[in-house]
Amino acid sequence: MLAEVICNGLIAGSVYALAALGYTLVYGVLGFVNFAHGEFMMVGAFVAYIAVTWIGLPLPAAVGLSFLATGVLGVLVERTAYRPLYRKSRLAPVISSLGVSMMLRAAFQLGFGPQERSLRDIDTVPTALALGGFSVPWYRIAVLVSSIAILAMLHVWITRSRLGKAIRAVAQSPDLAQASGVNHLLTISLVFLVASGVGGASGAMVALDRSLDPNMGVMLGFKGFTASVVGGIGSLRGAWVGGFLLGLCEHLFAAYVSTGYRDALTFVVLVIFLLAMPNGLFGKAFRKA
Amino acid sequence: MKKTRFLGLIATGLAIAVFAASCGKKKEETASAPVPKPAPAVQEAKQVFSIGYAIPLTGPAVSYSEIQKKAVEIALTEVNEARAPQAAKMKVLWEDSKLDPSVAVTAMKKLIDVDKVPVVLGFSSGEILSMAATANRTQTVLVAPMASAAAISEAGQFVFRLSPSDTFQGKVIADVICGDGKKKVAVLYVNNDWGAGLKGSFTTQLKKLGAVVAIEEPSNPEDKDFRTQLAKIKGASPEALVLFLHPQEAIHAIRQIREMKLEVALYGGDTFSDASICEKIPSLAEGIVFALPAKPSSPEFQAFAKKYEAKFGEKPDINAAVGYDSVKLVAAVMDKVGTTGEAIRQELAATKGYRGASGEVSFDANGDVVSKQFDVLVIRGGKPVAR
Repeated sequence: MLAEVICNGLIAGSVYALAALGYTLVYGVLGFVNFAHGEFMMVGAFVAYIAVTWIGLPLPAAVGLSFLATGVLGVLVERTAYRPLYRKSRLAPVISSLGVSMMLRAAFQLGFGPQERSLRDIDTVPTALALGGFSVPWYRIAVLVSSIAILAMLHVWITRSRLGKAIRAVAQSPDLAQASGVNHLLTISLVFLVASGVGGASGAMVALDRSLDPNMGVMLGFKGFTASVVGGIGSLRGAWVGGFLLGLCEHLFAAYVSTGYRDALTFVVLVIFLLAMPNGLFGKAFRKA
Repeated sequence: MKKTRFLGLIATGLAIAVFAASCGKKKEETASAPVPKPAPAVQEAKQVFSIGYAIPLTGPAVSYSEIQKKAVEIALTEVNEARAPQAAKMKVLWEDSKLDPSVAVTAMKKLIDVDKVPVVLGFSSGEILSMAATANRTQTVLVAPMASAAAISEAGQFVFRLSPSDTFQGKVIADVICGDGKKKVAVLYVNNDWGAGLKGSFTTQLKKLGAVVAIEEPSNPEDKDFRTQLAKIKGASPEALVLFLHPQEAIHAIRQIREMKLEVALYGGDTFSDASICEKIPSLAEGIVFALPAKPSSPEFQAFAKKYEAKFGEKPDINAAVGYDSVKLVAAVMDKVGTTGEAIRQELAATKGYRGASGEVSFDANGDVVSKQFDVLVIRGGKPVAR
């Protein structure tokens, strides 16, 4: 059973890590928590749903479309709802993000109704990979592999490429970056394109793994946020570690301690880290405003 | 800059304190025992009289409210068509309870204070148990078409329900499982008033019959991932697995049971009569056995089913029937005694042998329906059929 539980924990963890990445990217560059991120994930799930069931695209293309559409949505939201507020107060964009989150949820509930939907045919037993005492269905393997692939690609892109360097430069010091010729407003848009896009792609993964509905972003966003805090919000490596750690903890806790309090564990972990280690495992000290 | 921020903080703090204090006061006021019911709404002038229904219009239990709306629509059409043209028409006001007991109480208070309804219908056991205090205090009749937790029997004299208590249902399922010769049984239940109550009465009866409860695993409402619980259940190698889950949760659980190749006989609560299960996973749900507090073969149910199918093009389930019965019964009572809560309560309590679509309705001293019979059903070929 242990192997099966660890496998489930890793799959959940890979999705949490993707979600955490969105929080970390935005926080690292702008220093505020984008609470609408969970809803960007929900939007990504719906884009994938529309792509698969209405347009008839294959799954990988649908995930790609989710990335693009949600990324563009992220850029638009940043331009209209966050950017005018950066100079007002540090709290203003955070509150604005809460508003965006409620608006998106309400809009999708109005448009699609509150019921659950599914990305694939759920009335058949999917082909599965047998692993000793248990088997993992193909779609779960797809979720794990593609989540890790997206994480790895982003990691390389941010640490190695020119644009990635620009992002890190703006994160370190926006003024200095601007003085050195980095267009920092354009960089912020780029960050939102990537962070929201990855969120959308991970939402599509969740939809593939479980189901989708307009309220799915609430818990997902919360788990992703917790993972990013555990790893150290603002740290790329932290998002990886926090995500997998949270996924594993949750499943091991459910298997060996209590199933009923599984979600409560996430809240407890968040509170403990905020109190004892607010910088998380890999985070730098919080930036002073 | 710093000073203004500090002042802002103080102002916010003060505002919160004042708000909290005023809320606290309000609570105390309302808590002071029996507040006379606000003057019964006299609806003759408005040509309409209303009752309320607090039900999840959003969230995981939404499939129920859609059925309720349809069933209530049929009941209202019948009730209002039977009236003289000038007579006041009956209306049902819907409020979203989100499957959340505290939201349900707020919804109920709104229905009572703003809409002045004398009767409120409620949905789940947890919601009904929370709403009961308000019902008894304000002398508002609370009718539960579906809620079945054992604890509702003690909820007070203004609470009535049309589905038998889980004490009966748990027993029936335990009897069926033992009758099938299963001796080692696992339970996966949703950890709320309904699931835990049903599990309690089920395991008590199971032990009485000499079978063993191999493992009991709880899950949270709205859970979608049951793999960890199922891995534990697999490890306990039971002969049968009972699912006390809501339909949406059950769909995820059954998919995961089949994926994990957990080969046990599956049994469930009355939630398996929900159409969404046979609609979404007809082949995966094949062979699941469940008990239902109804006789779909009765002429009253058939007559209701015919109207429902003609109007909506789908077959009604037992939950539709109890919703329909609740509204028709309340309408008949209100026609007789008017719109005061106390008079409605007395008349409702005296109901004996009302022949509804969901079966015969008579209430005992606790406002529990007695005299309903259970059918044991099995899902075959994507349809629940009598076993």
